[in-house]
Amino acid sequence: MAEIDLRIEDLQAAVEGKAILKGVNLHVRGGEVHAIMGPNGSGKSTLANTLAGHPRYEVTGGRAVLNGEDILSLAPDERAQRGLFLAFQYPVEVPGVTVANFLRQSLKAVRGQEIPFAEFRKKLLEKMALLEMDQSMAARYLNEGFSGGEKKRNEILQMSMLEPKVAVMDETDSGLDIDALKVVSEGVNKLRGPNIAVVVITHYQRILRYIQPDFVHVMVDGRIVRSGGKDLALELEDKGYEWIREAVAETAQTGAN
Amino acid sequence: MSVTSLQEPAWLREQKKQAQMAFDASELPYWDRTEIRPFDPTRFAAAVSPAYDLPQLPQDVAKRGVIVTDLQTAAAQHGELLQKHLGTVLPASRGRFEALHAANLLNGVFVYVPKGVEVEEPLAVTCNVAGQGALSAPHMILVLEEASSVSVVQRTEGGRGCLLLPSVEVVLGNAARLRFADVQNFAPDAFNYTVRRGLLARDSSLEWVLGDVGSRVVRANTESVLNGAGAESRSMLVFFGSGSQHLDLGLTMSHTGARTNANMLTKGVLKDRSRAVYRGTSDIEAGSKNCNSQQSAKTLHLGGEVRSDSIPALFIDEYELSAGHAATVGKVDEEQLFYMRSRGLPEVEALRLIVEGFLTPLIDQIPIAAVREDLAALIDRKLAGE
Repeated sequence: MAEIDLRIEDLQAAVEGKAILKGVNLHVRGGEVHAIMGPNGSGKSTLANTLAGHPRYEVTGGRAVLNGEDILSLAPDERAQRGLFLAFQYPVEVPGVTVANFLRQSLKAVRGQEIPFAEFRKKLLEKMALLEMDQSMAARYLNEGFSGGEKKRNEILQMSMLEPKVAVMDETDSGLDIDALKVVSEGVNKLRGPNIAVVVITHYQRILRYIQPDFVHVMVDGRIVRSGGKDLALELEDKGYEWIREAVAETAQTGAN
Repeated sequence: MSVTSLQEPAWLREQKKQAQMAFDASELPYWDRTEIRPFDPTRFAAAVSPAYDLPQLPQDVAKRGVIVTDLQTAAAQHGELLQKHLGTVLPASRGRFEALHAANLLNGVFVYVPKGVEVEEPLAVTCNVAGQGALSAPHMILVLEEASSVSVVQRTEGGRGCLLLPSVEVVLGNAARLRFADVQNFAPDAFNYTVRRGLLARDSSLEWVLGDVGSRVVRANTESVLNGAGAESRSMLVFFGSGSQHLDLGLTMSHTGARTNANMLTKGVLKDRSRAVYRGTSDIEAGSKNCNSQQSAKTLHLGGEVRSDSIPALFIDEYELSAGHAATVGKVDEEQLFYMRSRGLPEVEALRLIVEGFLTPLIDQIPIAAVREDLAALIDRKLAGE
């Protein structure tokens, strides 16, 4: 069994010349679930997109070392082939390409070999049933005309089919009603285990009731300013992000004096 | 001077002489959206003969009088038949380049199917222009007598640096049915002026399957003239432009008969800095009552440096009819590519999936398996950057 170890060290990134990530440090290992919380604009989604290699996000410093290899110089597809997965906040519509065909080609790409059709089909139907997705979804064009909930389920379907080493979920809870959230969370919980590390990015504490994190990190202004156990999420919900902001500002001032 | 060869009968020599005179008397036409200057024949060497690979006819088919032969042989062995039809659908008087074609006619293919004969297996023809920097005028003439049917597939290649003037003439008798597929894969530096035209008698049917992949610049028009009542025609056009290709592709349906039915389906993909002009024309003359003429054109842009113009046109001189058109342009954007790549697909693979998804609904309708496969393979190669 391969060990999984992702070390993000002093990661800095900019969008259109504007610095968003200002030195993120995070250490994630197989079997762990990390939650990254933070107010809007704190850089959570930038972290997700930078890790996945979105061309609009420019890395200006730092490293992200997955099992000994800095993945930041790799193309997005190469990162996926190394075992990184990003569940998109806004999954993209791709007309003309069916869910099934896309998944089959993706699986072939990350595994580096063809997967027998019967095996693929069995696995696909299994995972779809688990996520309470109708079988007919497989023949629909990727995300085209999907409801918000269908799109998010489809992200988790891809995640469970591709079996990544590190899965980053970017606000998967946004736009989901409580029933859909439970189904999606259940799907993620089934994947949990020593063969995967999960990073849940969220604005709200709600999803963390269903996907219990081992660690909670709070991001403000492009940095992780506080880390703790799952109680931190509850405290945050109780006291709000302003509390963290003030606490951080205080610390900074004390440090400066 | 027109180009002649020793084996030519007197009537053909005369026809070519007349064509040369028509060319000399013609004026430079006005072209919009496509630069005409590179098509100046004085930039090219004297005409070279295209070479053909012709199918071996099964014995029972040949026995029933079906002819598939090159023009030289046709002129020698079926002179009367050829003389009756050659240049009747596309006479030199139609225009400067039609005249230039007719004057420089050196070789081509003659297909003849007698009355009532139905040929099951598609006949495959390969046309290769071996010359370089020369002019060449490949010709294809297909004559189907009453109630006959055949499928013919042409694949073109070669023509490096050439000025190519391919023509296809079709004559359909009453209730005759022709499927003609033309996969154009000439050299990427060829200038190509193509004219295809079919005359349809009563209740006949003509299906054009056109794949435009090759040439540097193409200016083409493919027309069905629906003369006879109840005639029908369908055009399926698939194009793929890459590099700095310029594809100016026209489809025309001319309704002169009553109850005539036409449908034009186009799908094209543009990559790199390529450009396409699609012209779909329904021309409905007075008296062609209760006819139906439809067209749709869809273009997919891969990247922001390509350009396409879709010009559907409807000329109507009749009141009782149904006609319609639809044109759409889709774009593959950075977000789609990133999304697909984040699942492990390299960029080329991602594009291949998108293009496949876009073209497959039309390619699947192509009734000849060999053409489907050939086109798909050619497009795959172009996607991968040749």
